[in-house]
Amino acid sequence: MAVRRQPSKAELRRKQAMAAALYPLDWIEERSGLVGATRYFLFRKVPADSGWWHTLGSASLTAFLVQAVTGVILAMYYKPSPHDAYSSIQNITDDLTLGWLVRGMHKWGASIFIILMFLHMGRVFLFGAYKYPRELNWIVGVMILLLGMLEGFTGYLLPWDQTAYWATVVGINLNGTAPIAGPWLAQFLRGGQEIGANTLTIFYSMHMLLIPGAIIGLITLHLYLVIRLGVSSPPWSKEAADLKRADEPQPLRTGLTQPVVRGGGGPE
Amino acid sequence: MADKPKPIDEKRAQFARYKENVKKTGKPFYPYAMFHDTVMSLAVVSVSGGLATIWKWTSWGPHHAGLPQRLVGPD
Repeated sequence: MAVRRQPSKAELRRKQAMAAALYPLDWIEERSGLVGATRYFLFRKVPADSGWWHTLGSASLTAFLVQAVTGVILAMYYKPSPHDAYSSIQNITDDLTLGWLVRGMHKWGASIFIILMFLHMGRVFLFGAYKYPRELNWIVGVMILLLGMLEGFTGYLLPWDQTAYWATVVGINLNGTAPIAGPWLAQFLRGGQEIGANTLTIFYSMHMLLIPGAIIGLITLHLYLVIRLGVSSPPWSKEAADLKRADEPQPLRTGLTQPVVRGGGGPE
Repeated sequence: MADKPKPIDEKRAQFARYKENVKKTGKPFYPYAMFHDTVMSLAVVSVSGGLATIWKWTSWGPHHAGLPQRLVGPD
């Protein structure tokens, strides 16, 4: 008869330590299911031939996170009033420890964010990843791009220098020429008849709260849809090619425009 | 006579085949795809920081009798 070995003290201690370490995770999992969700997110299958092209979405997300983090730091020192705005920007750039880095990353990160979104959009278009059933995700992505550009427009005024002022004058005047809603929109953005203190606070509020909040909501929805629907394969992938029905005749292209159908004598 | 399948039915079937294919032949997001994403994210942060550094340290400044223009853009 086999005798069951008693666990040693070291083994018991290891077991207890493991249970103690896992307790917080078990506590969270039991109450929220978040651990299971994270496990699903990390270990879900993606097409075997997904590669660097598929990183443009997460790169855009990283660029947005850089903007969020540097923006929060800048907001701690920026003063949104015509009298103080420019001097507070100078203070951030020249006097604060690494302020130049935070401001520089925010300024250049804005362009990087927009460029990456355009590249991501181009990739999705060329891979045909906007087609069924991902149409809604395409629409959400376009909305994020539009809001990203609006975020850039509202942020441009905040340094309150000559470039910022006149670029905003041009931008608001362009909006004002739109039919029906144009004049109302221009009036709303200016916060009156002239660009001044009200314009700056409206732009600051939109740049800090309204637009980032909307972008965060849309990014959450975008990611949910990516996880739900899966990542699309590149058009040249074997997996994408295998999606055709087995009984469907596969055309062999002998020239640019001459498909030859296997086993067929022409159209019936 | 069987009804002619609608285009949406074919799309649904194709998507179901895609899901089945990925389940069978795909690879887990972690660590494969996540590695690519991490490298790309580090590159994005590095490029932002690099541009900020170039912007800061290539300032010509008004003392050069020129415009206070930086190498990669104005203030």
